[in-house]
Amino acid sequence: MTALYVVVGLLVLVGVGGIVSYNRFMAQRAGVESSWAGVDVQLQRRHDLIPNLVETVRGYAAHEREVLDRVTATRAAAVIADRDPGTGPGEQARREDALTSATRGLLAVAEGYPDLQAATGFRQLQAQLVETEDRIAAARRLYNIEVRGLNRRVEAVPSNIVAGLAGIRRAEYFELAESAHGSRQAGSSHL
Amino acid sequence: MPSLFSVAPVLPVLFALLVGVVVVGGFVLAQRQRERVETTYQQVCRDQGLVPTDVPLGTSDAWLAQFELLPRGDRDHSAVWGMEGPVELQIGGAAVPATCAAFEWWWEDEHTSRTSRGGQRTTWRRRSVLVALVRLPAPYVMPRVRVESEGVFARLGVGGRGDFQVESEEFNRRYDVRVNDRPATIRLFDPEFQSQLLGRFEGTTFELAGDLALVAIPTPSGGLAMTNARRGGSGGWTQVFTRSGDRLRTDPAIVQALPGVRHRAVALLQAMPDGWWRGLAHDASTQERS
Repeated sequence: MTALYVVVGLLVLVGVGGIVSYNRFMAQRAGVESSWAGVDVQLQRRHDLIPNLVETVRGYAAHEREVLDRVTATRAAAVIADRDPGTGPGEQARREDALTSATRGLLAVAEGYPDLQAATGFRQLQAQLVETEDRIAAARRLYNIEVRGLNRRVEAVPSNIVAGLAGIRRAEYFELAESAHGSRQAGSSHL
Repeated sequence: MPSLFSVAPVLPVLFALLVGVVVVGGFVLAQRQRERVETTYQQVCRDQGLVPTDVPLGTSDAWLAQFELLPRGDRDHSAVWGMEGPVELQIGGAAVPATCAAFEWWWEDEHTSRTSRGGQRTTWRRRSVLVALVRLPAPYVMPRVRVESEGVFARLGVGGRGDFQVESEEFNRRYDVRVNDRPATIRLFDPEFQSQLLGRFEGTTFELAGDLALVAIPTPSGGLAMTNARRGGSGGWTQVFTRSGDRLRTDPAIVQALPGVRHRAVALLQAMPDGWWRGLAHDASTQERS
């Protein structure tokens, strides 16, 4: 009889532990999703900003068509990826990197036009771009911290058993190579 | 040989004299200590070009106690030895004029224990921290952030729920960070600032709220000093002398350390990332426009 109580007690303990672990996974997954939404908002903010930047530069340097077209095309690719729910953070990051590279090319070209550099509208757009890059970097770090917490539990014993039973998989990190205003996106070295 | 009858009346007189000498001596020593600390206080303020104040940056004790890093204690609390003056911060690539105060914050904790005769013995312990309080000008309005050393259990991985996590495992183990705005705060804790808190500013506790930044450092004695004891016979309560808010309990060394705390607060703010300051300024201008 005592052995039965012990077995039942152990089963109850395992059951409660499993429920607690599962609920924590759900909370972590919600955290990953909400922090990804934060990244998404900032990416959209950048996508909205770039057409204004392109038009402002075109006003002073219309003949730099190749650079302008490249920014427009990479932005379109990034927007399409962003709107497609099937696109993962890895693919999104690759497209954002392409857009970043094109935007940096545009800003480099703009340096050769003093009138453009002096234009208030262009300076404001540049400041907004810097601020947006800061926000993207912050949102990306928050997202990656959430992902790291989830992934660690997916791999660790005994929570990996619950993850396996519930079909919870590792989430993908969102890593960007560089920001449009030239600084490396900080914060990934510890991941 | 004098008889006992002639010696007996002398003993109480001698005893009374001795008690009198002890009481007067104690009073004189206390008075000298008070003067010594007061003189040090005035001198430190003069040397540093600071203004002595009882209300640092115009804040009352009750208002200051809203900072979670400043305990209220079980009986009393107060800010003493306040000194304040302007500072120029190099933040976000610009010189920003601010005001910075430093003071000692003390509070009294109650401890109760049983005596061998079945009574209750209560002691109050005076604890204190050295504090620097910086008021930033517009447009720098900060979210609420509290950073203090991590507790033993949290270091072992037990508890610590709600603690804001960053990329560095070492930082997460060493610091307990509470915030009310995660997206804004992540900009503060960039990898460079994390490593500074683990190196140059190790063990620093600080709290940010609105336009105020508060840095608290334990007093050199470890922040603990017995102030008074209560004795209880047969369960009774007997108050032993202690005046609340007694400035005498401060060592002159604590007053001398206050300008250093001020400098530490300024250095800490200047070590915060440019992106953090840019974000605060941008958020303020966005709110203004809307």
